[in-house]
Amino acid sequence: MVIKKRWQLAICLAVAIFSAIRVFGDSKILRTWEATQGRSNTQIAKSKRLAIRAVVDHHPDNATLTLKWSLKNVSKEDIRLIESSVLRDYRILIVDRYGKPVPLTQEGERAFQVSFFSSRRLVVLRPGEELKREINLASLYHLKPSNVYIINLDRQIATQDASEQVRAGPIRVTLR
Amino acid sequence: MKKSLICAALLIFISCLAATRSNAQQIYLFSQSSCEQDGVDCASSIGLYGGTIYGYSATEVDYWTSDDYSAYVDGQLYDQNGTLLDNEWDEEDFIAQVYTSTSANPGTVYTEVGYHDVIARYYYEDIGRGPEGCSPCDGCNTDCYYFYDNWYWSDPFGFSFMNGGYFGSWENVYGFGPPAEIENDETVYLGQTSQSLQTPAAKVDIRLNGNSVTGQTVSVIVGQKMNLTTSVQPSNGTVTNSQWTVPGGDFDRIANYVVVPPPQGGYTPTSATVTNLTTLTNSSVDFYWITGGSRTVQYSCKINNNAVQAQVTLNVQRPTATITAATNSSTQIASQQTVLELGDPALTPGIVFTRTLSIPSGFSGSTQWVQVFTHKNGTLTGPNGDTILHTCGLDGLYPYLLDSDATATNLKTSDSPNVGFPQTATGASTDYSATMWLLFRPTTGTNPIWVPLRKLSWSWSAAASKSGSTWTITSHSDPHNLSDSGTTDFPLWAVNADSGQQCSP
Repeated sequence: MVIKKRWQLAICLAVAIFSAIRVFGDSKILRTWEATQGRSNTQIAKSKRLAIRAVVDHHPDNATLTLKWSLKNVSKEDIRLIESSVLRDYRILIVDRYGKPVPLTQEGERAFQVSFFSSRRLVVLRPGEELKREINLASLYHLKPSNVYIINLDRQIATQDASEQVRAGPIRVTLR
Repeated sequence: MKKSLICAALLIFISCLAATRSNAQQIYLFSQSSCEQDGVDCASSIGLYGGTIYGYSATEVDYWTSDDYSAYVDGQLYDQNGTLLDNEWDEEDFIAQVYTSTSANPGTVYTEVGYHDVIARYYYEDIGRGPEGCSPCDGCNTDCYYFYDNWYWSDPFGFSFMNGGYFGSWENVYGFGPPAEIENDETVYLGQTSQSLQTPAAKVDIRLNGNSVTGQTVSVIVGQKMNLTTSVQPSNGTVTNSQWTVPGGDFDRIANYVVVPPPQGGYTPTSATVTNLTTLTNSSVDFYWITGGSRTVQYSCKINNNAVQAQVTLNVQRPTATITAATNSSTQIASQQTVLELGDPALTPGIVFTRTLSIPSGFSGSTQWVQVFTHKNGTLTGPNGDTILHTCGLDGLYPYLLDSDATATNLKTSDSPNVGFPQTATGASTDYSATMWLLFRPTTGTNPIWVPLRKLSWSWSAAASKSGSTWTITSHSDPHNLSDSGTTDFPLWAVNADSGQQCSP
């Protein structure tokens, strides 16, 4: 019982640390994201028009750890989105149980760099429509067996004079 | 009585054959299959069942005749060359019957011949008197005596047609014909009956998706699965030397086109591969047409060592289509100095693709876009030097997404290639070479595949540098005068261009 409580305490601590550092976490990721998303000094509000639902499919052999999510228009109006690549449109932040950001693999680094060269497309989300996306985190991040990870996913959408943020998580994953 | 018995036996025999002979279709060449004489019936019949020839011959004597004769039959089964294939005989009091059999060969005449006999069963003693001319012999004349003169087989119906011997009035009990003496051979040959049949010639039938199409002209469409199978006659024949002849080359027909689609993120393995049609020596073949036209597909083989062949003409339809690509904008620095881009996806996309499509009447199907990069190179210059990228393969998602304002008529889609500027970057360049494919898939049949109709290649290169906080375009080459072409090339790739996997420059 004591061990269990300590474990819960550690998780809570990790979440707290994660929440605190995620703003300052992986500077490279944040820098990139800030740049490509056109994040400006405008106020960022929590989106009331969009919602993300995310789940993780975890293969027992740890070869795939697939983060699947849908971005849904929960408003009653059309939403125009500029879609590029997943790594460019979304911010995925993975921290370990101590709140330390998990670095990208070489393949992840490359994929991230390649995302700068992706096309952009206009997507109109009708009310109730959703975009489904997924990504195999196991090939992009240095994830180790028998570790606990916390995954956060969010996206910032620029509007005419402001930005809104939609997010999912944190999602807790224990690798075998 | 005798008729009913032999007819019943024949009926049962023929019924047994007919019940399971739906595919036999043998041809009876001639029939002298029965005879009828006083007191005797005889018959022969032949049939084909499941690849086996069965013959039947019978001789039957009626109740009264059976007092004097046994029935005898010799059944012999021959082929058209007179080769004796089977032989059986039987002798019975009433019905002598035999069954012969042999395995059937296609296109062969078989004859069941029945040789029918009766065998005289009884004899009588001819009692003579002597000396010649003595009379009366009533006990008064001591010179007169009786003696056994000879043994006579009874042939009351005169089947033997031999000269009869002496017979007294009491012999009449044996029948109606002139009695005949049969001294050495009691078997009386009555004659022969026979029946022949010709087995169907060896034959092969081509079936398209289960339907017989041999000798026909059938309209099909590109992308429709051609599942050609065969059935042979005789059905249990041994098939060897199977060979399909499917006209055209690898650009006209293929065995399959398989796409391993990426998930909606594009970072896991994806590929598209074509399997050429190479296996043409089985009894069936599966393939897909890519090009249109009239094509005669042939199949040849040997059935029980008899060479046969069949063919079907496939009138292959192919939709007509066009791709129109418009470049209505130029390379620009956009989105608050964060992007080097061809066009603006929200306002005027860099390249807009639309298509027209005409599907041959009687068919239906749909189209989709797929874009593949021959190369997609990029360079980012930062504080630590250049990051050079060489990617290729599928452009993100499969299929390529439609624009939100696309209609079923134009299937509009667009591309606005760009380079996002990292904050620390001071220079960026890119060099694209891509091909957009228009694929068609029919709804006809099972497991149709996507086949290429048109393709359009385009390229874009651009470079920009940053001075202070301002990005400036240093060079660019926008796509222009884009034109499509008909194609039978499939879009192929082994990686996803978004995956980060590097390709040759």
